[in-house]
Amino acid sequence: MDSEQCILIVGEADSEAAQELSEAGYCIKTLSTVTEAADAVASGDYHLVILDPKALTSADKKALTDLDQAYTTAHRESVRHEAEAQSTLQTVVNTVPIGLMVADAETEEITYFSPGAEAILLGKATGKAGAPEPGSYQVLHADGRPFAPQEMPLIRSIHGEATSDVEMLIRRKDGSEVTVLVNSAPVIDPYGHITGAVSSMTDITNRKLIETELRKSQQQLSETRAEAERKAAELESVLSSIADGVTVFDREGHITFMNDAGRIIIGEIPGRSLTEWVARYQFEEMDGSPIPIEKTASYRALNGEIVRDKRFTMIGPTGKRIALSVSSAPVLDSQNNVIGAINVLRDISEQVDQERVKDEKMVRDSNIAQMLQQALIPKDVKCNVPGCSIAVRYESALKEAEVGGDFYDVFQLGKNRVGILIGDVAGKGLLAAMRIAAARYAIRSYAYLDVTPGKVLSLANEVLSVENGENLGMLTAFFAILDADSGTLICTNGGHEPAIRISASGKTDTLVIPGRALGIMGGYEYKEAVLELDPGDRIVMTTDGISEARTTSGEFFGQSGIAAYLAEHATDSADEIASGLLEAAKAHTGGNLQDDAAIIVLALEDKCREL
Amino acid sequence: MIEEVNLRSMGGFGVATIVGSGELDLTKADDLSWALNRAISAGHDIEVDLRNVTFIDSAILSSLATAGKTLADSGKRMTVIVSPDSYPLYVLNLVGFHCLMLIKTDDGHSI
Repeated sequence: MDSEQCILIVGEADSEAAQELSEAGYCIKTLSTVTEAADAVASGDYHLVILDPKALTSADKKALTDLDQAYTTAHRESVRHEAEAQSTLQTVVNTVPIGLMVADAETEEITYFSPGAEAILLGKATGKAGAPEPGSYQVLHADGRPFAPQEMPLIRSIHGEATSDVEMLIRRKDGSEVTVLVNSAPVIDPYGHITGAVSSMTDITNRKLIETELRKSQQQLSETRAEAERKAAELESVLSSIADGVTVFDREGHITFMNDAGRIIIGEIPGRSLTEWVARYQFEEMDGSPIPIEKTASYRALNGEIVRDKRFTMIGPTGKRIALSVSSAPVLDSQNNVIGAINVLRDISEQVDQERVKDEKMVRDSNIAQMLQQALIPKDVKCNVPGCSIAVRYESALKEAEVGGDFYDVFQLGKNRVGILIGDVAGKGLLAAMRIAAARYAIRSYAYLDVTPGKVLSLANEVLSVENGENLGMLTAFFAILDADSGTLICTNGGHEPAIRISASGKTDTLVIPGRALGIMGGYEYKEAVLELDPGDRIVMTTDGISEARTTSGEFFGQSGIAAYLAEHATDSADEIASGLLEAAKAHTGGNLQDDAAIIVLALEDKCREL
Repeated sequence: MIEEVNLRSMGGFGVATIVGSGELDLTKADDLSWALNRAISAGHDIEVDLRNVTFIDSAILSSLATAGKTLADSGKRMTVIVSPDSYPLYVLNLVGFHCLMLIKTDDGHSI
């Protein structure tokens, strides 16, 4: 029943009023009592009751009075509730960060604009819904296209459509942009007519920014992870292909990776962690002393230390020994915290064996060379010529140095003749010792042929110039023969330091005899010098270890240093001069000689004159 | 120190220049021999610049002699440049290496 169009008449149905209403098109229903009318109104079906006062009984009048009072009370309560509800709603609308807009269906004018909406749009929207006034704000799609009026949610809802989560980009009058999410719905009156539309907008700018950043982060994370996985795959491929064993530990010392070469070198995976590895295997220094876990390269790397080419021996559970070289380094994160360690193992067993063989050979060669040198360079020499004495000195640059190339020889040639030889072969060690032997015995042999010293060197040079090996067996030598019968010293020089003659008066003469070093080219005739010896003469022969003794600044002791010493010790004995000169050269260096050195001093006593 | 400086053309023939400096002793002899042998293998004449060398020992002399003889045997030439009054000049004169190489001072005088 349409309550608006039905009218109750209490009383006579044919009253004048009822007649007029009926003619106006209203449905008229007559009731006999007010009580019935009250019930009908209470049912909500009727809005208008026309009472015929003549039909009212006293009970009806009382009922009407009660009804009126009840209605008045209910009406006041209703008004109060409605006011409270309005206030609450307004508070909510003002408080929530949501913008509300209401538009009239007929005019499409915006009739309500909440403070929330004003805050979002930086101003009030006025005029037509869907058509922001120029200079206020623009409504755009996410891609920047403007919203057409018919796309606007309020307009769509005025036309009956409810919209949900329409995303809009609002470009405000100050140029700033916000993203909003809009929902809208038509406003329908109780009779089903659309009287307007309401829309709500929520500022999701921050959410969108966060979402965008999150998407970027996720994408970057994804790309980073993919890159890391690619690099890890590449690294693993590289590590797997190299010949060295590679082991990677995490921070707790767990083995997280070991390449094939590592497993081959060790024979198996040695355990799940460094601790297990050390428990199952023994680690020894190259000298055989044990290596505790805290001294292992991997442990040290896990504690931030870089270890390079640490050699050690690893003994497996079966007793197999492997000589290894390991380099370890910590793995650091971006804050330089140690997050693991990596070590690179190389099996050097073969190399160590070769080095041991080489070392043994060197020791053997050195021993042979020393034995040869001891045989070739006597500590003492004898001179059987009356009135003459000869002293010799030999000094290595360092005690542990290889055998050098300096040598000397003093040998008797008949009753009153003595051969005196001092020389220097190139190189050191066994090869040098062998060259010394060859030179010494070649010269000594030819000297026994009773030829002059120059001829001796010429003949020896022919033999020594025969190529033997990569380098020439070059040597320098000063050779002289003391002839007591004639009182002469016949000298020759093959590229060696000149000898120095010093008389009893302290006058020194350097015996310069040009001559080529031996062993580089044959066919050379060595020149000679014949010295008429006087009593008290000293002839001093040295190797370059004396003349080349130099200070830290490079100043040589030189021939001048030798001559100066001799001038001050002209009357010393041969033995005193040999020792003193050696010490003077050493003193010049401030300590040890830079090279081997040999000295021969021939001293003639006064009675030698009678010879 | 031994430095193999360059190979340059001189009169239509290749000349290898080897420059030494400081003290040259047994520890540098292998380096010098290597540089000399490389130049010999390339068929070059060799110029050894010892003007900045303060000392040479018998091992260096041996390397020079070996290279000089090899070059002489193959019709090539070795030139050693030294500073006047220097120790290398003294030693080279002493051992009589003129038969194996041309020794000249940096002022152009042959010794």
